[in-house]
Amino acid sequence: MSVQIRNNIQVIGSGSTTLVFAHGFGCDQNMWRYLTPSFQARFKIVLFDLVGSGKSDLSAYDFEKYASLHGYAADLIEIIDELTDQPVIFVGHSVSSIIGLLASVQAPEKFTCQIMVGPSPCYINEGDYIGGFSQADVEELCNTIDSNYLGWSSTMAPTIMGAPNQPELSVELTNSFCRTDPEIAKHFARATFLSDHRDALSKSTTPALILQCSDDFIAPCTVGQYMHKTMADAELCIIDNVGHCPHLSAPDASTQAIKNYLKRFYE
Amino acid sequence: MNNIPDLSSSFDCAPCGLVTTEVNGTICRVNTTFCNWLGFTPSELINNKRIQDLFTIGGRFFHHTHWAPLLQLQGSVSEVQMDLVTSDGKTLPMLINVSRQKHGDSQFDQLAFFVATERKNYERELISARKSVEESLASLHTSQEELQESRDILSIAIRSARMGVWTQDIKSGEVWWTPELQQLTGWTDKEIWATPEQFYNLIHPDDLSSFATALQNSIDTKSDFDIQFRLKHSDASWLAMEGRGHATYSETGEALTIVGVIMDVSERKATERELHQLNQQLSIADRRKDEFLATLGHELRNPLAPIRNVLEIMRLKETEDSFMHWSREMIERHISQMTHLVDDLMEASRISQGRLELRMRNIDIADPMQSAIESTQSIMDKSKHTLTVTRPESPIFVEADTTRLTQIIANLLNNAGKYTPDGGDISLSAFQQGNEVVLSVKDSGMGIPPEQLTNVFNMFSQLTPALEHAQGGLGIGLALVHGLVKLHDGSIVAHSEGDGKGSEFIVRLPISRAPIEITPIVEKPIDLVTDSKRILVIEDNIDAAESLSMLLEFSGHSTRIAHSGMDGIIAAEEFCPDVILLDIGLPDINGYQVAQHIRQQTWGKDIFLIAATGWGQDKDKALAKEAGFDKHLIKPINFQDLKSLLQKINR
Repeated sequence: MSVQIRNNIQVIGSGSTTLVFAHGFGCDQNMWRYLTPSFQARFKIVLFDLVGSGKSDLSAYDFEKYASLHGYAADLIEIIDELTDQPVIFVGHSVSSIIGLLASVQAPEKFTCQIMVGPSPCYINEGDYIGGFSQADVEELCNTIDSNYLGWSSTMAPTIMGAPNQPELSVELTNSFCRTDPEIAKHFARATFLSDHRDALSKSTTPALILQCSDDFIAPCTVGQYMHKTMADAELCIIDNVGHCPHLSAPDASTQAIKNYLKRFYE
Repeated sequence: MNNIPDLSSSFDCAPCGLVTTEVNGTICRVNTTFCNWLGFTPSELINNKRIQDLFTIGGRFFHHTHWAPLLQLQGSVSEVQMDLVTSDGKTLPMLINVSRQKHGDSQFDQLAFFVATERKNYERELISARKSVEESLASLHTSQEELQESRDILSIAIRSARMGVWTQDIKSGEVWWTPELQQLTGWTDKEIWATPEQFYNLIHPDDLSSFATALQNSIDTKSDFDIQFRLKHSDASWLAMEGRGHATYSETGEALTIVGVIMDVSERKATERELHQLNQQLSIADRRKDEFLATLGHELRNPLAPIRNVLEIMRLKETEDSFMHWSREMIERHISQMTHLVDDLMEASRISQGRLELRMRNIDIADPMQSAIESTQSIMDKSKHTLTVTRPESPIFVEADTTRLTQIIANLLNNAGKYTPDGGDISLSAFQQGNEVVLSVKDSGMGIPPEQLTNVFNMFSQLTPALEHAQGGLGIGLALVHGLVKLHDGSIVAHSEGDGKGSEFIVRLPISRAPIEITPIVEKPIDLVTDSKRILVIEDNIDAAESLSMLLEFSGHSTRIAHSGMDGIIAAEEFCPDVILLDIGLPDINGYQVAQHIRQQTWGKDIFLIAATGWGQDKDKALAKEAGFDKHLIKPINFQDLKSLLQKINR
């Protein structure tokens, strides 16, 4: 199967350097729509959906392969190979920042740097390590996904309230955004939130920017600090934001932080 | 219009929870309904809590991963189901709609909450019902797969065994065939077998009634049926089939269905036929062999008679010539051995042809033992063997033919003598063991290799050793012993420790049940009158006739010879003999006819008629008696027997 179809790859912008954006758990490549305009003049931008999310080919979802994040990391390397033979700048949100981390350990030559938005190598508390959650919390998330399965399948209709400011957006979003097969969503939630990839941090030699929100329920500051301390070449940048999606709720600050960091490589 | 409540009252008492928050979730307005549901006062919430603080941890996750991005991108979230945590820590399922609205330069989120306990329960039930259906379906699917797999395996097994299954609904009569049976018979159209009439149409007409009877019988007696029949293949050939099965019954005992398995036994039948043919061929070959041996014996014996007669004449005319004496004795020894061999051969073949008859009497085992010892004395003496005899302490009676029992023991002793190097030890013993008498003949001879032990009693078994040992033979003697022992309902086994370690033959015979009083055989005193008799010899073998005649002349009788039946009758009338020795097998008319004719003549009534036949069977003797013979002798005639018989005739 072609990688393009499998991962619903979209390429925009132009430039000799490729910027790859990877979305996090729960959504799809639309997450990046506030960020991409600031980069597409200078970079070739690659957007894609993780298998099982968005408009990816759901039939390619292999429960065995995607039981661990390594399955997604292998896909990422295939995507990069498909589009360029040069090292890329990788921007990953949440779980995708860890997928990128694993790929950079496996194939460091394919990465110039990695920008990790709201990353956490391990969500579950263990000993001195504070991931923020227990296994029971993850199970509860799965229950919430289950509860909203029926709702999600029919709800995204914009007619009830609409989005008066952006009607065209809502029409588009009804089709795919945040919608997915609940079995896949739960499987993905467990693969994401029960994983522990702390050992990969020290193995990755690719320079990293950690974009940490000041008030992020999912990835608390302690996690950002732990990563910063553990990784060989990492910068920690804290964005004043409540929530887990600074690229949505604080797109300007996010863009600025990324641009600042990229100066190190391109100016 | 006076009665309509004002807006703030409508807001506070709305039948849903209404909340306004900042974009980061901080609650800035809340209605009474919401506060009542959650158990908080408005001041506890406003500016003190963010809406996500009221969610469970799972809900807060969801808020981050789904809700917030949706609001950000779409401006609304509809019908999200979340558990909210009340002031006393309980959870309350709620359905939430949210829309993001601009107000001046700021953005606010308007939230509406509905209690969804029931809806959530329904949905849970729905989900769990769906899960259970899915599980049932999966389990059904698995069962079906397993069943199909078992069926496939069974089908392969049935096909490989060339079997098929059929069932019949007894009430409707409908017949079903499994695909295996269809494949086996080549019939694939249901219309060919769907009714019993159609099914029976495929059964060979000759087998149909037995098929139907067996089936009905099986239904009636609630037993299995087992039928052999032929079933028509679609290529019009007949398949030899074996059908088995039984009926099933309702609780009231009414027969419901017949379930049957049909097996193609064509190959087995063909093999059976082939075996049968082979068996027949073998038994024909075996019978021919027996006939050949019988004829061979007969043919070999005929020339022996004249030779013996001539030897007898030579003995009577004994000269001083020592060379002639030596020659005669040597020929006599060899002729005697050869006669013995031929006799054994003939008797062994008679046994295998079932033509030997025994004259059973109650006899003391000691008598044949004694006779056998006497008849083998010369062999023992010649080879300087030491014979040790252990006789039973008291008489043991057996139902036996004395002559044959003597022959059994004599043959065993002969055999022992033959296969034991000169100066050996041979023992003969007899004792009672249970209901049997055990006769043992043991020697210190060359022994029998283990692999030969079981077939020493087969004729020709010693063909190979015959080449190796000068003393070998055809093995006729032991075969004859074996046959004779079996005719006496006894058994014989050979024991040997191996080469050079001697052999032992053990014969077991049943002891006669009722002890019989011994009636001493009163020997008629032999009439020693040696008066000359007129004897007519009618015999087509010229040498035999002439040599016998010559012998008789030497004994002082006058003789006449005839070589055919008609010549014999003429000679009898002319010669007026006292005795006629009459061969049965003559070229023109047989001996019986000659005898009948002579008996009908006035001159022939008192002539002593002796029949000479090759086959000493009771039937021959009965025929001879019927034809008017006085006595019956077996060819070749032993001259000593004839001589003593002639002495007894006193006419």
